[in-house]
Amino acid sequence: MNPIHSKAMVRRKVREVLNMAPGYGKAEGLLLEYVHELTGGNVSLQELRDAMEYNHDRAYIRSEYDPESETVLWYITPAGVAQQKSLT
Amino acid sequence: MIKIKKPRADSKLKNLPEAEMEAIWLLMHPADTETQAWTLDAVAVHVQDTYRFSVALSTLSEWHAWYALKRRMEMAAQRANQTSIELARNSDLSPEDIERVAQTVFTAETLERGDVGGYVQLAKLRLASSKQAIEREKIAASAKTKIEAGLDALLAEIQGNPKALKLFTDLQEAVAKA
Repeated sequence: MNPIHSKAMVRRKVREVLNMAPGYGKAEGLLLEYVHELTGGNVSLQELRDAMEYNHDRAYIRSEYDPESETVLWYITPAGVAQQKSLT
Repeated sequence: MIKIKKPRADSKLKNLPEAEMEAIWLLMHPADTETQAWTLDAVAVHVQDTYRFSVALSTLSEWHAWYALKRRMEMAAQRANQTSIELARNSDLSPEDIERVAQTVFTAETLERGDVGGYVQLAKLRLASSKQAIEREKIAASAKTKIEAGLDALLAEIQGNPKALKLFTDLQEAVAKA
């Protein structure tokens, strides 16, 4: 774990990114790129996956498989939006 | 006693009305090339003077990254929505297919370096090719049904002829495997 990024911060950034244009899905690779943009980099794929798993376990985010592009797209849920609002 | 958390400066910035955030953004990224872009220090002073809260440069820098991404995503969503409307008017694509194309446009647009026109063409080609595959399957299924109907008629004709029935069974198996 990179010391400059707390787990809570990466979890929050995942929701923050998915809350932008929430109607459109974001693939994992892009999600990592966007989280990097918000944190200045240094978030590993594993850290991102841990954060996604945390959010997914609490139903803050959901996934959908797109057979056309053969990728999994991620979306924020209403519970995730509420959680995000509670922190601001 | 309920402890009420004081909003952080980054939350205050992110919760400013959209027009105010855009105004701050334009100070840092003027629309015309002749206007000098404001530095983070100058914007921090502006925020203090205008909105009455102090903001650290690191917080302002974080807000800048957040707002840049937010703008990009919103513009991408707008472009994707426009594509959906356009396709709904001028194409025979199903709503599901339009949604797929819009998603592709959104992804390409957020990348900034994406060739959106190319992505749309690619998405359309992929949809067209999957439609052709479905059509081919339909034609093959229909041909098979016709052959099977022909075999049923033949079976009625050859009842009572063991040699013909044996040949018929072999033929039927071959068709089933095709």
